[in-house]
Amino acid sequence: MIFEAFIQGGLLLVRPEILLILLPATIYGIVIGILPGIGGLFAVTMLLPFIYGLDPKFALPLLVFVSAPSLSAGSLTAVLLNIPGDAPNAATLLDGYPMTKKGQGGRAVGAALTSSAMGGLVGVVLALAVMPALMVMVKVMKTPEVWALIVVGIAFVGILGRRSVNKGLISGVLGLLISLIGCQANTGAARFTFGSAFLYDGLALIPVVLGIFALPELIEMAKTGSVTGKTKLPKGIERDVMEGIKDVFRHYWLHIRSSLIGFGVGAIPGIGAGTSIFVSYGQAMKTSKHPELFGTGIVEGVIAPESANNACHGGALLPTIGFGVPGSAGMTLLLAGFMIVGLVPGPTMLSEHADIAFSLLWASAIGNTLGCLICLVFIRHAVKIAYVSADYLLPIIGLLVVVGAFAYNHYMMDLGVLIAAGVTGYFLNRFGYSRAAFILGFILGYRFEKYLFTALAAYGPAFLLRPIVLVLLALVVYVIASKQINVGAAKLFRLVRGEQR
Amino acid sequence: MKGHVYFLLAILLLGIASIYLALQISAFIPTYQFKAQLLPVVFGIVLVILSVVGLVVELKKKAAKETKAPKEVTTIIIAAAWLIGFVVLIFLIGFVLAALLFGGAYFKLHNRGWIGSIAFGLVMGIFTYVVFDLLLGVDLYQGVIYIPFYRFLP
Repeated sequence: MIFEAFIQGGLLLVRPEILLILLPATIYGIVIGILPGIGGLFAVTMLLPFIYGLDPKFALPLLVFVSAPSLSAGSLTAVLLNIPGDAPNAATLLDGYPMTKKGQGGRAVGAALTSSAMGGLVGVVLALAVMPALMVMVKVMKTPEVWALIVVGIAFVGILGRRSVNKGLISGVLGLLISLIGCQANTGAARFTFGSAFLYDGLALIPVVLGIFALPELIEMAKTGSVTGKTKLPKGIERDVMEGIKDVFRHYWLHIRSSLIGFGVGAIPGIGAGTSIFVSYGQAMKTSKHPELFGTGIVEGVIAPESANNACHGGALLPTIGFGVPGSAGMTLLLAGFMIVGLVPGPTMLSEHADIAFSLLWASAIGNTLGCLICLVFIRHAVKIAYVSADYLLPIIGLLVVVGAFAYNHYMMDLGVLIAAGVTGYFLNRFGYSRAAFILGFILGYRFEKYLFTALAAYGPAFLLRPIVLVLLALVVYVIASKQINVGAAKLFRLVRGEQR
Repeated sequence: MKGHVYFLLAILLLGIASIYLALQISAFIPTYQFKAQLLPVVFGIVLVILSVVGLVVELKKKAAKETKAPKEVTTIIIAAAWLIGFVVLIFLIGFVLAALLFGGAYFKLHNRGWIGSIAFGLVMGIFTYVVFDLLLGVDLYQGVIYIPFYRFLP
């Protein structure tokens, strides 16, 4: 059954409309990925308003075609210009740019892009291998367990990606609170509508997502202008690309290990590629025969993070599709995409739409590989995109954001929601709060409430004592209080040892 | 630090407001009222607690000088003003004309020549109409001020 769904998923992509859109979508993902500081998150956000009404079998792979190559493209500017395309490319520049300064830029680019392509494929293969277990797990999860998973997802996205537990929780709870605006699903009672008919249906998803993610980026773009400034593009970068490609095969075990780390980290809700790259870089340094050379420009320092950040994509797809709890901030937007096209990821997804679920794995593999190939062939031209001035970008992207917010419902009031969300997103970003946690709370708020009342109706308050629910909630409490728990445990341990002496 | 304190105060007020507004919700059936009020009150209480914790932590920190350069603050305010101004312009004269004016004005006020700015504005306006109205069928808003220009668009 799994194999059949896997093949059907692949066949879904072999259709004229998908093949026509594959190249433009991949190029779009590459262009946005190369623009420093913007990244795949922004690329997907900009597409969300325009997938409304599209067939899910077309719209969802499209989103993955866009997000998968953006990570690989971001490695180009990280290696050649010392500017990461996105946060998951941050570790690549630790050794990538020093390699460029030593005249080995082509080698670094070849290694980065090959690691990305192969890491993405490894992530997809691992996801396929884990899928049967996921399908079994999904059948065990009933409403109370899925509700607890939503709590875990929101808490983890808020806490694990940032240093401050308090800030992460504030973001998540704020998103949950905003999601309550409108008429309550079970009772029809109007909440926080202030008598406005516009608010009876609640706040629309697209204007909020665009406001929270896209508007603050535009303001940052206006602030920094052209990020590349006067940084010159190195000459002769095409020369040693083949050497870099061979390096990945020479260090195949490092590549596999790093991909495994990326996949594993990606599968845990809330962590994402930004953490996996540093974990992978750290393990590469620890296991290297020459750890002192890391940071001076060695190819292992490029292979490790780039393998991890693309394998992470495959891992993050699993909790998103299986439980409806995103594995990363990027998957939060894919979740938004599911909702826009009318699909609900979660336990029913794998039984009723397994072909679509597998098509996303195929799309991740194809988009990532194609993106890397295009970047390898057109390195110099691709990097020139990073030099486009903010004077061109800001009005164009501003226009797309505003039209996108309007196009969803054709309400001018949605532009007011866009601005309000933009202001909120700016301050959340400014003071270090997790915007992904906010959006996750906003998206999952409806299901959070629905599953809570369903669980209460079916099992009463005793649903909180179900074993899996207890474990998941205990995990959340542990993560929230882990610092205090560890300090307390250390004190107790010292006390016991002191008494024994 | 000061800005963050104000932000936390705003969160605190939001939490208190949500509790108050939630308790005003009424429904014909008591259980319905309870269901409608439960989560807004719970989330409001949690927000109040978290924002108070955040405020305590923030106020305990040694008062560090705000290092944000005045020029940076001005740039942010100007960028925000451009975006809000664009939305207001759309409300007044519709998407196509607003895109034309916004694109051209932004270009000109960022030290570009007249010809380039007019050309860029025209490209923005035409792009908006062709891609969104004609190709995607979005049916763009035409503004509260009646402008005969829109009558001539197919």
